[in-house]
Order: sequence, then structure tokens, then C-alpha cells
Amino acid sequence: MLAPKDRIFTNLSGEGDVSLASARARGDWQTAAGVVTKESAWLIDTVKESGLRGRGGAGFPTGIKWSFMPKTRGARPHYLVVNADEGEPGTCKDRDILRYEPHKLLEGCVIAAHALLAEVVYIYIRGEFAEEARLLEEAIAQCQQADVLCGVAIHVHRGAGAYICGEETALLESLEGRKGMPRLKPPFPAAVGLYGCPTTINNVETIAVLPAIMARGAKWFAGLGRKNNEGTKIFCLSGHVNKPCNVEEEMGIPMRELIDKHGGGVCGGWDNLLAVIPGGSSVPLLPASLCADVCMDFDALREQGSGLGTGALIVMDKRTDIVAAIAQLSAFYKRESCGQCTPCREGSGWIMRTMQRLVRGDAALADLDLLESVAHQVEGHTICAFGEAAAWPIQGLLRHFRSDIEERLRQAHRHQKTAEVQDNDAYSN
Amino acid sequence: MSENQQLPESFATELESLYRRLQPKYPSVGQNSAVLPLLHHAQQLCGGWLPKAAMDHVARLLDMAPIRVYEVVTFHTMFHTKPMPKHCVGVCTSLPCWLRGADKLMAHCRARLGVRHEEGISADDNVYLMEQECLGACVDAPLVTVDGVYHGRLDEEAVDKLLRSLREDNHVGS
Repeated sequence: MLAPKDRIFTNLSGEGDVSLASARARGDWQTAAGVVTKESAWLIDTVKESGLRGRGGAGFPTGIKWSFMPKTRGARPHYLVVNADEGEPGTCKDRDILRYEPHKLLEGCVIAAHALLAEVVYIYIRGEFAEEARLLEEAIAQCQQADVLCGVAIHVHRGAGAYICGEETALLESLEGRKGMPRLKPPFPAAVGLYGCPTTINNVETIAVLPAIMARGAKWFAGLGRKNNEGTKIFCLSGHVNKPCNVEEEMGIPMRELIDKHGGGVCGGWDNLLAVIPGGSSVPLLPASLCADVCMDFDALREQGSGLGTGALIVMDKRTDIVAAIAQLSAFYKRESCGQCTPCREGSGWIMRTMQRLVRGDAALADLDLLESVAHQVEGHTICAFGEAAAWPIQGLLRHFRSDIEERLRQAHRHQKTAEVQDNDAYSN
Repeated sequence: MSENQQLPESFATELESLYRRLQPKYPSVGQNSAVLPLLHHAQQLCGGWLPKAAMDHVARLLDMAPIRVYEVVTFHTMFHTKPMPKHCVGVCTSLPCWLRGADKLMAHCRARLGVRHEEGISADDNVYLMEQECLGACVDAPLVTVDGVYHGRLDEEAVDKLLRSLREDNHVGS
């Protein structure tokens, strides 16, 4: 369990106010001024050494991502873009950073901008977060007045409601004033990004932990969690837990401990657990049998065939109709597919309709193979990772609940047959 | 899309003054970035939706082809190309909210507002009811937005209270 002294987000529950003075009293803005006197290479090495991996879902090592940027500034400016387009079902950690810890994010922006040789930072925030955007603008204005931004210009840019804009190249498209359709890579944003210039896109949480890493040292951060899965992480506990919450914990905390200690336990007790989606809606679910011993980090969850994703746990107890639950996600992916790639545009609709048939019980057993086949054909055949996001929940469902679904279908078919026989009897009478 | 919608009188000046404030935020090659903030503001000025004339105005301001503005508008759920009722109620029906009874809340809202389809305008023409995708506040599930403001951890009684306040607001306004 994370020791109180190692907590980074001390105001995550919003007990204190977010004024610059209060944030300073909590320790914010004591690091950036010193950090900007260091070389960019030193900063990048420090982040590499800390082991920090991106907190937006993919878990790519942040220091390595940064090192893809040109080492010197040429004719084109460099940009840092912060991805605050939080929209992955289950995930709501960045919202609390924006609302309650905006100064950690802003100080992190100054540090990252310096490392990336950028002078301008855009924070792309989802359109629905209108109040959060307002708070952030206010925090920026306070920082400008107090002259703590070390020459970095930070701008807030609001989206207007599109899940796909959380994909980093779709976000750049949207920021440039076009509809948010992901770009083909390469070229990667570090070479050709925003306005054709070298750009790094990082998640809110990734940026907001930087001041702590710089202040306390890479070794401190790397000392938390385990190798390749270092540091702390904000977990979002939603669904069937007694006390849904966002909580910062040490990476690698056992899932059961996380749910019991911070979420107040599964509704109806641990034995009432059916399944958990451990990393936001896009990762495959884990059935209760695998949840008892699994630890919450990138590698441990990958070994179980799932992923840490955004660190958002969607807990489902035995009341849940698991087919209907996953169908709910399939409908989400169908609606949010941007339509650019055929396998995703067509496949997400196909998956949704097949899932709806499964929910109603009017599917054939062969539809399960069809579902698996369609999911497989979407996965890996699209420009961006949305294809995987649409396919993985289906694959998790079939991997762990296929025999249950088959039994359910057989039962539905028996009922239908009985009904038909009764109908026929009624006619013949 | 309505072709001959009159824009509010102050529309042009207000939009231009916003654009002047936005210009320094984006580089000269990236002035089209202002399209989202301008559309947000235009929609607000037009009473919650974007007539074609408003979109065309934004296009002219940014020297964009009108189709480029239309496609940005229709790509996003927060922009509307038809007149909207005075109030908008959104029920988040994504999985975390669904697990905590969002479908029941949605059915309750439909019944209370007299909306016969999945989504739509209330019987008194005062409210647009819609399903919303994950709003990113899952620990407060189930979640309802009223005119964009988040309300979390709701039961049917709390929703009734919200809907009542909208009705009263309508009576005061009319």
C-alpha cells in the first residue's frame, strides 16, 4: 500500500482549494524554476530512469517517447500537447487532476516543454468538461500573473464531443480545425505533428507526476512498484463497488486489496464478484477467478490476457448480465467509430448487432464463431488502436464466458421450440 | 439545416471579437484551429444550435470552405444543426453508469418528460432528452447532465427534482 509520504496527488479528493497560494502550500511550483536551468537531455534521462510509462492507456515509456523529438530546435517550433480528452468508459482520473490538482499539471507542462524544447503547450480538453476547462484557464491566469510559467505559453483548447479525438493523431487533426480522424503513421508526431512540427502528446496524469519525479528524484519514483511498472497510479473504481472512487496507489497493488481497501469491497462481498474490466472499457475483462490474485500493473495484467490501460476498474457483480454489459460497450464503439477504416466502420456495427442478438437470445450458436471472426478481422486492420478497443472486450467475453453463453443460447432455443410446439398445437386444435 | 435562419444582431461583432482574441493563441499557419471555439460560441449565441448561416459565417471568418466547417460540426455530438428546446438533459448510458441503473433513469426520464422514442423532445417542448456516451465521471455514476452541468449519484427522486426545476424555470421564462 502507498505510504502517505509517497503520495503525489495530495488534493485528489478536492479537500483543499485550487488557488495558486494553496497549491504552493501543498508543495506545487517549487520545482519547475530549478528544472528549467538543466539540459533537455538530462531531463529526458531522468524521466527514462524513473521508469514512467504513459498513463493514457498504451503505457509507452515516456522518456523514450520524448527522445524521438529532434535534439535541437530547427526552423520549426516544437509543441507539447496534453491529452485531456478523457472519455474511455470507466476512466475519470484526469477530471479530478484538472479540477483539484491543476497546478501539478501546469508545472508538469513547464517541465515537459523545457525537455522537449517547446515554448507552446496546448491542453486539449474534452468539450463536456466545460467547468474543468474554466478552472484550468483560471489556474493558468493565476500562474501568468505570478510569472511562474518560465516563458512557456499554455493554451486550453476545448473539444466538442468525440471519443476518437483522444487518439493522439485524431486529437492533432481536431486541434488543427479538422474532424478528428486518426492519421496514418509514420510519420510519427515527433517528426511531423501539430501544424507539421515536431510534437509530443502526453496524457494529463503522465505530465502531472513530472514535478514529483523531478523534485524527489527518478530513483524514488522507480523505487515504487516493480521493474518496468514503476511509480504510483491513479485508479478509478466504478461499477459494483460499495464506494466508487479515484485513488492513487502504488503500481502493482493486488486488485483485491485495491477494491476492498479503497472501493469498500464488491457489492455483496468478494464472493459476489462476476468479472472486472481492469483498465477502461477497451481491455478484455477478467473473470472473478483471475481477479483474486492479479496485481494492478502493465505486465501482470498482460500476462492474464488483459491490460492496465488507463487504470480504470469496472467492477461487475453476479447481478450483471455480462452479455448485455459487453453489448453496451459494443454499442459505444459502434457509435464512436470515426468511419475512416472499413474494418472498423463495418465491423463495429456487425459486432454490435451480433451482440444484441445474443442479448435477446435469438442468435445461433454459430454466431459466436462469427463474432470471434469479425472481432479478429477488425483487430490490427485499422489506422488507429480503436479497432483493437472494439475487438478486445468481445475477445475477453468469449475467452472466459463462452460456455455460459452457449448454455444460455441452448436454453433460449429450447424455450423457442416449446413455444413453437405450443403454437402448432393451438393451430391443430 | 435551416437555410434562411436570421442570426442574432450582435452575432458578427461578437464572433469577430472572439476571433481576434483567439488569433494569438494559434500560429499563422494554424488559424483554422479557432474553428471549434468559434463554433462553440456561435452555438451559444444562436440559442443552442448552429443555423447554416452561422456555420457559413465561421467559414468566411477563417477562410475555410463551408463544407470543412459542416463536417467538423456533424462530427461532434455537442453541436446541433436543428433548433433545440430550451433545455437539454443527457443521461450517460455507458457501462459504468449502466451498471448503476442508468437505463432505469433513462426510462424514468422518458416517462416523466413524455418522450416516446429513445431520445427526443419532451411533450411540453421544453427539454431535449438524449443518451450520452461516457462523460468521464464514472465514480459518480449514474450521471445526468442538465444543460451541460454534471449531476452525479442520482436516483429517480433526485432526477425528478432536477426535471421539476426545469419546468419551473420554463414557467418563469414564458
